[in-house]
Amino acid sequence: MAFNGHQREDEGIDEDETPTKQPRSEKEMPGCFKTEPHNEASASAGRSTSERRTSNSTMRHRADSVKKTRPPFPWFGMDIGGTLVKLVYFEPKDITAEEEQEEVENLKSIRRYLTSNTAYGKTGIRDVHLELQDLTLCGRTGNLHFIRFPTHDLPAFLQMGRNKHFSSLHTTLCATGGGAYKFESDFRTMADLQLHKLDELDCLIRGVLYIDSVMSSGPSECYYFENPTDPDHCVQKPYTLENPYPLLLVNIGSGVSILAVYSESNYKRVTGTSLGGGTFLGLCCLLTGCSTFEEALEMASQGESTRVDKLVRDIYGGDYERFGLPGWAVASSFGNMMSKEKRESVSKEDLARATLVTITNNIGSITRMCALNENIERVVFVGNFLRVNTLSMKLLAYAMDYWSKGQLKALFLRHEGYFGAVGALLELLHPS
Amino acid sequence: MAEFVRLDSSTSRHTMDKSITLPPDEIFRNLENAKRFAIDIGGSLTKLAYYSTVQHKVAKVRSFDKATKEAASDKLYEISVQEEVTARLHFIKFENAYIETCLDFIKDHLVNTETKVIKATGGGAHKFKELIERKLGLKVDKEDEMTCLIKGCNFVLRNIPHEAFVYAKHADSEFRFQTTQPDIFPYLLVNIGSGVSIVKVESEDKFERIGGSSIGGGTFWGLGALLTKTKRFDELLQLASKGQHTSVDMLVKDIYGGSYGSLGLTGDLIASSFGKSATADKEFSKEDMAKSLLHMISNDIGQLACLYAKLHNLSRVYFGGFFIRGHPVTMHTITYSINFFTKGEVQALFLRHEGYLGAIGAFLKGYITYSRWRLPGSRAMYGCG
Repeated sequence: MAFNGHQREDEGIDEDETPTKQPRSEKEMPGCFKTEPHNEASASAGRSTSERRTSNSTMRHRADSVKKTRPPFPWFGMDIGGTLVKLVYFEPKDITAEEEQEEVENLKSIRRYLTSNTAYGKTGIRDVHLELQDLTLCGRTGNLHFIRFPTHDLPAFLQMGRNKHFSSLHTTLCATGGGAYKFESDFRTMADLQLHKLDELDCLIRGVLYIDSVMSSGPSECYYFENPTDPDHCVQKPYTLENPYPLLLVNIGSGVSILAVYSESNYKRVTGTSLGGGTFLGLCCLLTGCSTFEEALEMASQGESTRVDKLVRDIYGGDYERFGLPGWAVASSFGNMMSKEKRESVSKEDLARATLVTITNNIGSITRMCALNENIERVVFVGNFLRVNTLSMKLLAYAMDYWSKGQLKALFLRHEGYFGAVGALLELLHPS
Repeated sequence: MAEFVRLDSSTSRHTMDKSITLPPDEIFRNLENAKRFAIDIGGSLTKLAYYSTVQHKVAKVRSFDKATKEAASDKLYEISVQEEVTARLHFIKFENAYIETCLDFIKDHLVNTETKVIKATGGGAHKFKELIERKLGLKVDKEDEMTCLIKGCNFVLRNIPHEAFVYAKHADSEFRFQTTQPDIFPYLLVNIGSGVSIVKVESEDKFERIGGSSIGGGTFWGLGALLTKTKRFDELLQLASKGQHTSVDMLVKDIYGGSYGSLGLTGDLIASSFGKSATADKEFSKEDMAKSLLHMISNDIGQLACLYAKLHNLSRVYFGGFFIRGHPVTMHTITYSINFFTKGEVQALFLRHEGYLGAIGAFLKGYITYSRWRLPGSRAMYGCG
């Protein structure tokens, strides 16, 4: 079913199009990047204008039929990745008194639990700064919340679902990511929940295109770095993803997937690499003894990688002019560490920094080659490796710019690693 | 401790990079006792190629026809022993930390009163120029690293039989040596030293460094030393051959519970290198970490090589440099990686004298200069100028 995003005019009435199932590829995806307020995944604008106004009774009738096809609350989208579980939750803010009375107790408690806390258990976090307020989805208005916790703690999450009798709500749980497949039976046995499994890349693309089309009162979803090569003047600037195609989408999670996107429905996975966020965290933990991503980043921000790496100037004594390799370029990552003396002279922070730089530059390098091979100039980096990781973002922006002599532009999105989960939620509301 | 290769080629420990017999070319023959050598000083290793003659007695047998015998006592066979001199090029490498030892070797064995100039290439030719000139009392004639690399590569591909080979882990014979062929261009050379240089070679004189990577042999050595506390490169390789990377790496099946069917990603593929090592509650064995590291670097280099090969429409990739050292895991991983990323369209080939290409090239450059001086009008050798 496809819906127009409109503001609710009065209670209980939804204005919408004929709720016929439309092929996702044509109408579902927000192909237009209009900045209409609170627009959800909309069908083409052309259709909406012609069917908007009808009489009250017809609308009420249609609203009823829509209610039947609209899934019951709660509305979740889940993305179970290699390292993190990403959860998006839609909190309805337009609940009528009537609805509230009818509301089942455990649904209420779930809503309260999620929205009145920003931390859950020991490792669950709600990213409040990413919350999208006053969003209209499927004719309801509310806030979209973004929650994450380590995949490692999924059993605890399932236990909680069981305790809150989630399964009695008879809601479909749309889940994507490898874990949707890996943990499918655990969901059934531990929480009596049936997962609706979705492809992770489909959800990713869908989520990216949707979030970008939503105009929030906050900062622009898409941004880039101006003057990436000049640390004193490097600033974050908004970017409108109008006419975004073709686009290279680089998803940096535990591992990396690189997608070439030609239209809402036409994309392919170009390649991937196993040197991703999981590698950074894993190596950092081994080298420095840290145990969280935040710790690793903190160390990296304090370190100096040039002591760990062997630079061109360490080999040449200066630049390698003939091939345009400046003396400060890294010739060999960790190349100085073969010497015992040097190993003893570097700090944990230096090692963390070197790990970050190595992984980031490698992703940049592979991305650049893919962009050249696919003839695409715009690259969007997403994934939770970039969460609170300005260092990597700037490095990527720099690398893209420098090695391509300004031909490639690196773009970033605020909701980084949540797009898969958003895509899953959209599938729940607008099944393809 | 410096690594030494025995001087006598026949008892060399490293049979892969045995000394090579120089083609019986006029130019080489006339330089009987001249000591010629060239040095390639890279980021971690200094490579030396030096010329010397091997003299040996060869028995030549001449048989006589019975019918032509005049008397019963006449011999049927005549055996004469002759001295034969073969020109050979020998190879030896030193860790840069021991460059002074290398220079001592050169001073003691290779320099004579006639030597005025030493041919040097690699970054160190610039960096260590003064040290060399001071220690040896010779002028350093610097040659560009890429030029020597390609010159050396072209030379071995064209003249040394069974130099290049394909590695097929599960085939009857693991090593499929290639015969020399006249038509070697174009090709991609991926030189894996401390770092990686990727060179597109279109003809004898037309080549271009089209890219590179900082994740190379130096990374394996450095990270390996940090993670396993093992200092020697060869020891790291030994550890790797015994390890199980699956305890350290996050595979597709660790995320999906199986394969990611719709994308054709089988469960055993590595989704995230070292992806499991973030858990604080476990100790990982040196062997497993070394193996994971080897896979990580080999796959990455293979992938990058494919991306460049694709962009430049090349179907043959040769791997040079001292990272590989005939290690089965490395060769298998790189070969697999190339096959995977190009769906079999690009061929991965390895070279026996992998890390000595630059030194060979610099040596040849020395010959050109020398030969032009000694033998005016002699033809340019092997098309290199």
